[in-house]
Amino acid sequence: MPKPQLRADQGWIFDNFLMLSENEDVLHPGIMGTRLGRGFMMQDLNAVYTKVTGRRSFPKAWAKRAVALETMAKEAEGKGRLVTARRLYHRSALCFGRAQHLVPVHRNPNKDKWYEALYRNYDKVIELSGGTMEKVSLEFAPGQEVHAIFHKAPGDGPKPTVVIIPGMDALKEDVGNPFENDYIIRGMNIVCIDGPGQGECNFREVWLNADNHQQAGARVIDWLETRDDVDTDRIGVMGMSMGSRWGVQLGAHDKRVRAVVGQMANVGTFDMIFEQAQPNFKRIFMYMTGYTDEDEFDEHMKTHDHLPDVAKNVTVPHLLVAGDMDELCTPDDIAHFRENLAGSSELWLYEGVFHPMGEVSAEIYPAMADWMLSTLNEGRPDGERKLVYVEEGTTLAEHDHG
Amino acid sequence: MAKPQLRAEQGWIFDNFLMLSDNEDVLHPGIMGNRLERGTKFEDLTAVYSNVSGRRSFPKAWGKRADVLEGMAKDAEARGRLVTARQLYHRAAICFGRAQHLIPIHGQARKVEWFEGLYRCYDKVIEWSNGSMESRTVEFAPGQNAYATFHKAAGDGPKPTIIALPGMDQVKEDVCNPFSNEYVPRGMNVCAVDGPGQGACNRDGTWQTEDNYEKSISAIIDWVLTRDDVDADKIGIMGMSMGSRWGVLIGAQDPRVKAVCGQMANVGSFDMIFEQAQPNFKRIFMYMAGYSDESEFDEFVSRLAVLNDVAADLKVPHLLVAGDMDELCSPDEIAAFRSGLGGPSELWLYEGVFHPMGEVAGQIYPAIADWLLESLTNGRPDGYERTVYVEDGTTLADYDHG
Repeated sequence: MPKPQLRADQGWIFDNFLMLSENEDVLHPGIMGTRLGRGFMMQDLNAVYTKVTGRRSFPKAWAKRAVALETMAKEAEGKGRLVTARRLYHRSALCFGRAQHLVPVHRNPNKDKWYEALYRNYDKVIELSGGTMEKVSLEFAPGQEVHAIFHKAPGDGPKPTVVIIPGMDALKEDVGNPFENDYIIRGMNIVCIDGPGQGECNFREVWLNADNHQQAGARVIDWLETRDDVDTDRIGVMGMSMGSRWGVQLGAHDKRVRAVVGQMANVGTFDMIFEQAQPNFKRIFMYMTGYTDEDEFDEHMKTHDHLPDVAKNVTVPHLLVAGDMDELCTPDDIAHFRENLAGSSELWLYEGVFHPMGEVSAEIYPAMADWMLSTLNEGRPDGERKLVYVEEGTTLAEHDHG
Repeated sequence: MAKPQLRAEQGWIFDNFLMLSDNEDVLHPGIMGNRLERGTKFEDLTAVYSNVSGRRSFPKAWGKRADVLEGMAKDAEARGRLVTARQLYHRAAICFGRAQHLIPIHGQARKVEWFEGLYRCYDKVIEWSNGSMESRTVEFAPGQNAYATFHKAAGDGPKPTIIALPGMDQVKEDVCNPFSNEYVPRGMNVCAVDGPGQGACNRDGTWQTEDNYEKSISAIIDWVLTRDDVDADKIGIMGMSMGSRWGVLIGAQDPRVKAVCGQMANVGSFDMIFEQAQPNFKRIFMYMAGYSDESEFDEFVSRLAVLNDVAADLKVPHLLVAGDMDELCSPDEIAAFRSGLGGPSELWLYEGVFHPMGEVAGQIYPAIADWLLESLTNGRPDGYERTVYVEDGTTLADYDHG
């Protein structure tokens, strides 16, 4: 029988917020821009939002949309219309990914079914990629694998390569849009990973502990070093949400990493996200670490690093991109974290913007890719410290930024 | 002095609708999906919609967003971040295009300024395209030019080529997203045009007459056929909105056109769009045709071809994609038009969908590109006729379609 989960049926507050809302903003404020950037289409979002009556209907609505998209994809593939089919398989995979995520109950039958569909659809995206995408699973501890999807930049020769780390229980398939990618178009490879506590690791019961995410990340970098299209002197890490924490740990732990970017900040303590924010976040992290007892989980979390301490070992350039309304990490937490960074440091803090940063996603993602490329190519001056506060009504272009 | 325009200051009804609305739906129901497909980002739309208080503020809001995007583009360009710069110039151009369109008054100072902004920014999109885009001016009558932007498919050799026709007073820059294009990845070139009544022709004061649109596009086809990357036997037309009418007119008189698709139907009489729909449409067409006196314009309209009569001369495969809620063309008009077509005919009629069809944009545009490629490559059998009514909750894949 599936494990019970923390406050699994406490839906009433969220249900009421949903009734006052027309989209996902009550769960992830302003996330729509981010979803669209990742390859969801407006009509997919509309199809989901119009079907949602309460919290319990969210995963079902995503799955229904995914099924419709997979049917369309199969039909297009059957007719040999492979460009159409690949895009539809991609959209379908994204929607199945959302569906399974919203049921953080291990071995729940629907969750397993949607996981399988996610991989079935995404395998097609890779199969029809004309060799531009490749999937690999790598053992990083006895019997435990990390999973990665490599997206190749065009052209011959070694290239800068960015390890993309998704967030809590998020997916490698959701963070590297193969059709509009900010890194590939700039001549960088990317490798999107599922480490412990994410996607395929969760599916295969490889749970997160205090230090295995960075071990998994380092194992992926071992593999990157075997590729002749990767410039091993120019490996960067870009982490989103909880990935902004794991990226710091990886950069501190693995000296092959030459630059670290974090976006959607999670660089403070766990108090805010687990004790003050919506209960979903703690519930999800308990699932990611394989706990069902809250007291045991609280005890376990004491073994996790205090990130400002880890920051002292990050000697490469670091960029953090966040909103000052972030509901999971305060500007004070960010300031304290940055004080401890050992290398050059830059912050783009957006006024009035929440954690998902969808309000400015089309501004920040290209700019982050540019920052990463110039940092990997040219480095940053020792001791450089930049703090850009992007006031509402202004853009990054109006400030001195890297 | 600028010419007075039909009911130019009758804004109160529209102002009140805007006050009840969060976006553009009261002007163009469901258009958001289209705008996103064309390259406008969600945050651009949010920036505009959140600044609109009444009808008169719409062009200013687009103009302001365009200024911001151009400022960002210049900053990126100055830093040598040309991928970022090109995408931002594209977004700026689209916003300038919207701004100028919403002032249908020839020579109006802001309109002129925004036209210049549109072309200044789009020239950069072409300049940084690495030769994958080319603009061309073609004289089709003494002293009168039509304009084209050619987007080349990758690879050597002649390829199928689609002439993309925008709608009423629309701009070639807005109908062919260089970053996410349905034709180019399928191995087709696409040539987006401004004929009389559109974009640069309107800027020039080259107004639409009874028959000069067809002539101008045939002149562009003359030029297209001089290119060695164009397969002269595989020229198709894709017309949007009023372009669905003009596409039929061109296909009926130019035998070099081998397939025609119309989307957002305008295949009926002018009574619905000019006498029953929002006054904007008549006002805009008067501007496009250079009229300021409504009676004289009505006389002009009476001389325009009756499309049902022209349809018999269209012998090549024709696809129409429309919504059964279309506020500018009814299902009965569509049926009457199709009954007169001289060649193979297919209709995809979407239940509950309005004229702009943004509700299904992510479904129809890839399918249209597939249909055109199939029609140009393999043709359609004589007597081919398909009518697909895509009911709400279903997709095209659930039906037998071409």
